Parts: sequence; structure tokens; C-alpha cells
Amino acid sequence: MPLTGGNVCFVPQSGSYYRYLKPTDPGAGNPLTWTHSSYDEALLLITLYCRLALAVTGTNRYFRMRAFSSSGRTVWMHKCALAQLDMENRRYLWDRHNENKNTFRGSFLISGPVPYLWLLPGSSITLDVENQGGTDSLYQCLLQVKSYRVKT
Amino acid sequence: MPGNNAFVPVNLGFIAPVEIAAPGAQTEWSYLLPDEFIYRLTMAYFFYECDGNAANRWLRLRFCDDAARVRGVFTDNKQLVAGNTRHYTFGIGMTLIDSGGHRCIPLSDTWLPGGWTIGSETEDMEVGDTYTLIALTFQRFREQN
Repeated sequence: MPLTGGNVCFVPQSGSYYRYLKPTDPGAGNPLTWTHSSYDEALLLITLYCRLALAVTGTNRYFRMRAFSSSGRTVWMHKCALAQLDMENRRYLWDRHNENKNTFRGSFLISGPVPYLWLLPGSSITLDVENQGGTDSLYQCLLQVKSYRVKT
Repeated sequence: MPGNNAFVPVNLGFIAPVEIAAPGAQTEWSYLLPDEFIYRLTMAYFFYECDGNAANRWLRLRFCDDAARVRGVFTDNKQLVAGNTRHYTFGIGMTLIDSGGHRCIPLSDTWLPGGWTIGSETEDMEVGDTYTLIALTFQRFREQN
């Protein structure tokens, strides 16, 4: 019986493997968007790392991660809880099982939670900043995923 | 029927987010699981927005059997009040978080047969309160005696 609602089921094949994906830096003042365009694999998000450099202080920014399905609907969203920013540069890490943390190691590394987030072909992830200054920059984004071959 | 017979769950794979249309103001949402399979819920995500009416809302994730009998409820332990908005993620392995407009809540192992329904149950839902951005993910299994 087919599933209702246009949902896709896939069978994780043996031989799944971990790998890293590197979205292109978007340039100052722009959000970072990555689209899963490989048609024959499903990806389970393990971690997402990114750096955010602020050009000016004094404005409260909120760093936001969103996941979209292939139909363009938001299926998960998280704003960094400690991201009311007036700092100059922070490292961010969304990680499974972690609660929000704030560790000072030269610059901040903030961990957020990640649920079982499945990315099928056509789905996408966007990182953006509310109240983004014109010269604020997102860079060095890295996604660690576990890759499964799709078999519908 | 789970609960009556021992069975070997055969993993048929994961289901990418089940997207549920926003139900409109002061309306609960629900999702009927398709027949023939058994489902392990791994994540439920939604956004809840309170209107300006003073009331203490309590949000719950509820599942019912095919006769509409309540079989289980996950209850948030913090109320929402007028003007609050929260992104809710119930997830296996998550830790309890309440910050930055988020509520992350641990989800215990939840097996749901086809024909059962999962949805919201909101105490003191006000006239302008809304659920939006609703998504669920499952693993799907077949029963093998």
C-alpha cells in the first residue's frame, strides 16, 4: 500500500557511509543555502558546522538553521539560543543529542540539538541571520552526513 | 496486532518528513498512519503560536488506537501563555531544552500500528492559537510472526 500525503519511504542499504559536504561560502550579507541534488541517496544529518563573523557590534543577531523538504516546506527549524549577538566571531555546531552549550575556546562554540533529520533529493538547508548586517559573513560551513542509497 | 502477539519487526526503512498541513486557528492536528505497517516515531516537530488571550496552555503529543482510545501522551512540562511562540521538537535521544523560543523534548521508543492516529492535544487552546510547520518522521516495519 502506498503511503499517503506524498511521503517517500526508503530502505537504508548496507554500505552506508559517512561523509562531509562543503557548501560554497555565500559572500558577505547573504544567507547560506545548500540543496541536496544527488538523486539516488538519502542523507541523515549528523553535524552541521559553520562560522559567523560579524562586521559591527551593537545589533542583536539571531543565527537560524532551517531544513526544507523537496516541496519547500519547513520541516525543522532552530535558532541558536545564545545567539543574541554582539560578538565578532563565533563557531557554531549543531549536533545530535547535545543540548545548547556555550564553550569558550578562543571564540565561542555553540552546540544546538539536531533531531533525526532526513534529507532526500531536492531538500535543502538554509543558514541565515536575523538582523544581518550588510557585511556580516557566514563561512566554512561543513555538513557531516550519513549517506544511504535510496530504494523506494 | 502488536501487544497481542510476539513478532519480529522487519525494518522496511525510514520515512522522510511527513508534512501535515496547518489546521487553522484553535484546531488540533492529527495524522492517520497508513495500514499494514508498524511505525517507530523518531521525531515530531511543530510551531505553536499563542494569541493574546490570558490562559495557561499545555501542549501534548497524543496517540490513539483505531477505536480512538487514547493509548499514550507525551506532555510538555512547561506552559505557554499569551503571546508565547515555541518551536517544538519531540525527538528520540534529545535532551530537554527550553531556550531561544525552542522546546526540545525527549521521545521514548514509540511503536504505532497502522490505523492508529498521532496528533496534538492542547489544554486551554485559545481562539487565535495556531499550529503550523508540522512534520513527523518514522521508521517503518512489517510484522513477521
